[in-house]
Amino acid sequence: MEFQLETAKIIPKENLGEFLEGLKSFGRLVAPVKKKEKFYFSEIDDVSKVDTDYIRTILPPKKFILEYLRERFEYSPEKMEFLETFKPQSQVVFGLHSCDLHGIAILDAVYLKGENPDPRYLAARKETVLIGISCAPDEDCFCISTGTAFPDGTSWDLFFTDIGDSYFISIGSAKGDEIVHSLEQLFKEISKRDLVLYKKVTAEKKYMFKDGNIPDIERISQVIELEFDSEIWDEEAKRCFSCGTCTNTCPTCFCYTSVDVPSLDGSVVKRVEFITSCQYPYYSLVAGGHWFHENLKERFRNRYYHKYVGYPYQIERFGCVGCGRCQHECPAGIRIVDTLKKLRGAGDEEKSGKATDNIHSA
Amino acid sequence: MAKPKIGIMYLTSCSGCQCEILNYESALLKLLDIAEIKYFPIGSSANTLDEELDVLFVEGSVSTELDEKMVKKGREAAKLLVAIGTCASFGGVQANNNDVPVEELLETTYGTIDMPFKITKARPLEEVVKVDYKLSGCPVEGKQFVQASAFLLNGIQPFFPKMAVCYECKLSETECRTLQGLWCLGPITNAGCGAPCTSKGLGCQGCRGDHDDPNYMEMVEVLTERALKDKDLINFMKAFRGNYLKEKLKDAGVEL
Repeated sequence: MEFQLETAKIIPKENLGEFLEGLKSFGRLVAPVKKKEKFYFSEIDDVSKVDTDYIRTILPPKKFILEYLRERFEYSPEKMEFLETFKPQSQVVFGLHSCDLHGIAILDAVYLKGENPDPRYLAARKETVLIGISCAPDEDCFCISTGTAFPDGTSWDLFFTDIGDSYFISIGSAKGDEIVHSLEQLFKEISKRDLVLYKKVTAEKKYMFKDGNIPDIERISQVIELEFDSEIWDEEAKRCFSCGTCTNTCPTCFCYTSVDVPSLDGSVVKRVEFITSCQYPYYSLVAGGHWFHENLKERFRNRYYHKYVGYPYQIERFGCVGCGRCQHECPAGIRIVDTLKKLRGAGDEEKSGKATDNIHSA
Repeated sequence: MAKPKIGIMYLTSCSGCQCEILNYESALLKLLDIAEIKYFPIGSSANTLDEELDVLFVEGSVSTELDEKMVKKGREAAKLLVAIGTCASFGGVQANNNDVPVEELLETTYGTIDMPFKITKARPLEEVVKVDYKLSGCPVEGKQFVQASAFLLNGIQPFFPKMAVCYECKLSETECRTLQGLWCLGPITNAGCGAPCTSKGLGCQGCRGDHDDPNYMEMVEVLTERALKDKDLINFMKAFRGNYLKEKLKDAGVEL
């Protein structure tokens, strides 16, 4: 039999429930649900609870691949016998926005690149199917700047684009293809009209962002490096609580603390890892009482450095996907977009475009 | 090997921390398996401070001359002394009025300053004796008490990094109470409680004291934006920080 990977299909919206029900045969189903005014990714039993009409969840979906609190292994200090307790679970995560798919792609690059991929991350990732869905931005979204407004690469399996009464389904992997084939009766072939609509809605997305809400990030890596001593860091950091909300809600942050926790009688010790934040002073404290980041400003600046300077060195792309969670959830109302704008435009006030006029006309 | 000996003492307090420990039955039974509880007046009728204790946990603030005597005796008996709860760690709610003369407080409350023993300001343990470790919280978090016991009984320094309550609040995906417009001290308060108040819809009351680098200036600004001002602001912030709030505000350059 000739086997050919298809690239796209159509699913009428009324078939979505049945599709979600069908996904359960590929593992536990995870999807966004609404809790009061907020959304969060949750394990789904009743598919009618799935709510795709959301802008952002409080925590990113990374919590299902890289758990926030995880046991690495346990051992008995007397016998020095180690027991790995981690077991990946087959799962389908449905309803991810493009930014979150990019977020996972970035974690993939961090955890899997090079000669020593993280075996546990790899195992979890292999058992995870990712199904994305299109979205409309709000005032905190800036994925159009970070180049993450649409899914690309190979980190995802299926992507749903809303074209009115149906979803246009892009197939991104062999697994995605397998899912579509196993639920074939729910899908239709693409008509000419569907394709026109798909091209139209994707092209229109860029007009949904307001200029004031998105930063210019051209050469931002270098701008940030050159503005290392800028007063802007002091001004912005002054308002920071060091509460870590920005990093804990970030889809690409992965820093963690590892600690050995003994049982009461000391017979068993668990190696526990928990997600933490570079914004907490203890995180940069090392033996001998040295602090890598001595004060609030340095910790604050570190986040921007890692996202826009560190990641590009490491994985050749920004560590920011423009999801806007950090600025949406910040209790002090610090906006990453405003900080970037200030850094990018520092000194602009005096020249007001004149210098660039000369350069471009010369 | 002989079982390690522990004690749980209380000074001026509501006994809430001890109740928290008593209520954590499963862990308490495990603790009894491996350790001997030599002193625990609220949970046992046979108590002694005459033997050496490996760890002594102390609840409550030092507010009377009796407290002072007790805790000093406890300190002599114990290799390690751990303050449990906010009163023992920072003075607690009773330290709220530490800027009012004690005589005035006695007069208001009892109508006389004539007391059977000397009453002092509410002081945290460390103002009277050397404290090896502090587990704040009102009450102390049962889980953290057991974990701290496990660390200490195995000769390891307990490790509870001082992160903001926002850490646990966000991890439980609770909507930000500050952004909702509520008065919440979560951004400056030490986590470890599991953020139970914010998950029930309240703002954090700050019972666990400061995390590593609390931004008082911004907290005051954020609360002021939410119409909490002057005396009310101070009263809200000092409920559990009574003993040190004013100093901290001064250090942070906040003028009220």
